[in-house]
Amino acid sequence: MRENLSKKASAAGQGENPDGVDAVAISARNIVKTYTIGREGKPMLVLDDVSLDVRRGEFLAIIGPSGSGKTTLLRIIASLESADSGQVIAQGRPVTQPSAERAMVFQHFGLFPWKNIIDNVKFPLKIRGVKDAEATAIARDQLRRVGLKPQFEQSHPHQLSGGMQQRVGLARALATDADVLLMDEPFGALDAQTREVLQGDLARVCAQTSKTVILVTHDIDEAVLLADRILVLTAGPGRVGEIVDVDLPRPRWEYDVRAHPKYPEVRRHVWDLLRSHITEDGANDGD
Amino acid sequence: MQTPPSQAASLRPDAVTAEAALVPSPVAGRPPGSVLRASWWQLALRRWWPPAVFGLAALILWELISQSINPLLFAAPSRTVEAFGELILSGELLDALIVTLSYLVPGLLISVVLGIALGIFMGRSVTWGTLLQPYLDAIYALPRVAIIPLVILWFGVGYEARIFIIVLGSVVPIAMSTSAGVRYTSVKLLEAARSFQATELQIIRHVVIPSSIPFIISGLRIGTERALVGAVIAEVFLSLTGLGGIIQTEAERFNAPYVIAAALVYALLGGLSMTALGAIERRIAAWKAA
Amino acid sequence: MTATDTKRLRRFNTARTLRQSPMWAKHLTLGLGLIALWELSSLFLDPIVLPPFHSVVVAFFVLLFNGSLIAALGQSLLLLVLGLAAALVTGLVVGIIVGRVSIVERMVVPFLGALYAMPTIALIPLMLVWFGFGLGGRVVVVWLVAFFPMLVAVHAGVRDAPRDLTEVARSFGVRREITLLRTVILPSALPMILNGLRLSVGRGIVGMVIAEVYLRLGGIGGLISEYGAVFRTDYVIAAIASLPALGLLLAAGVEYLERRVRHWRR
Ligand SMILES: Nc1ncnc2c1ncn2[C@@H]1O[C@H](COP(=O)(O)OP(=O)(O)OP(=O)(O)O)[C@@H](O)[C@H]1O
Ligand SMILES: [Mg+2]
Repeated sequence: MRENLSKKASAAGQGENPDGVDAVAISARNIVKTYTIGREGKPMLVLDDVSLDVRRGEFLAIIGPSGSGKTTLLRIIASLESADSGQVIAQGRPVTQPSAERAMVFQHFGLFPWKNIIDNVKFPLKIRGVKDAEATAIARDQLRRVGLKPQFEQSHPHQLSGGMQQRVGLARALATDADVLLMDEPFGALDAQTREVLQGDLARVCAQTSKTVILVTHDIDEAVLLADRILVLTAGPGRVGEIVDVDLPRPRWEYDVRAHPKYPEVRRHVWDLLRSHITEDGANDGD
Repeated sequence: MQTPPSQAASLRPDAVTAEAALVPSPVAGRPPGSVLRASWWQLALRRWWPPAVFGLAALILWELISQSINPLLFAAPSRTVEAFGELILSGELLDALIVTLSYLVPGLLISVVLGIALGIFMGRSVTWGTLLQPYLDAIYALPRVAIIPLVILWFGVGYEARIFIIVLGSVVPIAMSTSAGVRYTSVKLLEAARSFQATELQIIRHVVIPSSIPFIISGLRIGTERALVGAVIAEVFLSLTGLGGIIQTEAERFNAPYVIAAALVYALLGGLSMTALGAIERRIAAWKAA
Repeated sequence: MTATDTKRLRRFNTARTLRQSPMWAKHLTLGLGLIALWELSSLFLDPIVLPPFHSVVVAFFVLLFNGSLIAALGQSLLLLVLGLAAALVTGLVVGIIVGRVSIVERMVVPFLGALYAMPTIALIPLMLVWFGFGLGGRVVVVWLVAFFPMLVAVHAGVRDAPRDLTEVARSFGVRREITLLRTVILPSALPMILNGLRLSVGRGIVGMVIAEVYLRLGGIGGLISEYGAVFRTDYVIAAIASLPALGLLLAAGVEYLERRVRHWRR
């Protein structure tokens, strides 16, 4: 596990992909998306020619001002939304419909209130036709992995705290055995302390399972803490502003990342990028 | 709005869910298109062509089928329009409508007054509310047709009997819905009113009634619908008068087009009253928001 | 509390004990009071107009033990169950289609409100003429009055199924509409559907009795008309009493289902 980790860290950190195309888990090519409100409303450009590559096992954070199209981009990558032009490619093949190969973790948790916890986690497996006993075993494993106590298996979502519900959401995504996890502000609905604990757990789980992760977030600290690279989207229309390498040693849950000498530097850099876009956006609004 | 917790078993719909069921969906309610650019008739066209097409297709299909079997028995739309025109021209339909309204409207008014009063009483007094609930539930669950023999013994087959049938059906849903609304009046508002030494009557007038209006209106919806049903029952089963009289006599003669023509007037009455209640509700909502 | 108040309370001791007694005692008192009132007023009235309470009770047991009540109830229930089952199935199928196919929804919804508000009762004579006076025609009557509440409830439930949850299902690879219905849409619409079922049961009973009374044959409705025609009011009331009982029993059944379904709710 350790070797695996360090290999991954070096591949991500130095941006080398010795395996060529194979090392790219998912990539978006020239994504353009406009929304039209109503049939004759003025089309609004939301994403303007966005391209990105995510390497296998990499943790990519997408950050940007509100309304810059982060959610839209992630939904297009998940194929929950279609782009006007451009392509999403996973494992060398164009993506045309949603699939459990790219498992989503939702900001609103997305648990089925009428199913108990274990059945929620089993859901993607049952959809795929996995036998019940096997699905239960897998779901139990994943619930344990995300740190949910077994006594909650039979509870219903409303009986759990927000933090616990999102652990279930994470367990369900992990249960799919997908290589890619897509997360849209997964901790956005949680309080600060819970968020911090879950961030730590997410980092650990992702490292252990060597998933490729795309995380949309508002929170610069969260991005710096978790990500190998941070993609900064510019505001309206969303374009790729810059991709920032986070060159902090891993595994990061083993030390206080915020105390690392490089941390303020990275944080400041991302913040400067964001701020310039926010003010630019304000200037655009003027005319 | 909160959903009232379910009490004892009852046949009445849970007011809020029933309401939600009839709120037009976004698809039907808001046609696509920007309000600024399309003119009103374009919007109207966009909204109304699907139901128009559907309605027309249904009518044509019905016409074809009934023509091929028995246009009179199966009330071919063309025959129904004919019958409708005939009933209007002879004045028979208008007379019948006036007769029907002559007990429908008073019956409904009595139900509204009694129902709201009873509902407020049951909502303000927990004990009486709980005590009377099973009786109201029983009356609500009692099909009025079943008590026709009793009504005839008690009130005869005339005007009083018809009023009784209508009121018996409509009071209960209005009372139940009102009392639910009264019970869900915000405790904070009640406390505020009490802190100003408001009397019970003042509290009812200024706090309880205004905040229960959505519930009262949802009770009125059910009450009105049941009043219409009551009128039909009274006309068909007590003595043949009004619109129901036409329905029954023509049904006995197998004159389906005439039956449908009279039934259509009932449908129209139902649609009109629901529209009116919806308009009242919107006005009150607007006035509340202001 | 003033001194006179206290004195009054002490004097009307029974009133105070009543006020402080448990709810079941109050129910019992009110019930017994009403029965006493009934017995008392029947002393002054013709038994055809108002038979005393006890003779209604006797009539009820006579009907129960000579088997005619059970037989009538059986016929009525058969009619009701057939009609409601038909309403449930057609309501589900049509409601799902209307709720899920947007063009159909736009075509049909403007008519729904009108059809819902329309007193379908007015069409009952016609239905019996069209579909015959046998069981078939009567089932159509029950179906007719029970169908629209069902349709409206299913449509609303399906339409309002939370979009974020259908999206969750899609993101985990649910593609077929039928799977989506089974896994997300119907479970989330179930409370609404049951509420519609409750409404349909109420209306269905009305339709059932109307069909029976209209034809003066079969079931509880037939029993009532039969005794009404010979002015045995005690038997009429005894037969009538079984109807709210039937209605409330069925409502309790639906309520039970609702509770089972809602256990995941707060
Ligand atoms: N379904 C839709 N129809 C019309 N416009 C939409 C739709 N979804 C998003 N938009 C618009 O697209 C833009 C980008 O939205 P998006 O939700 O992707 O932003 P975001 O970066 O995720 O914002 P936030 O940080 O606030 O979540 C917004 O201006 C939004 O109004
Ligand atoms: Mg977003």
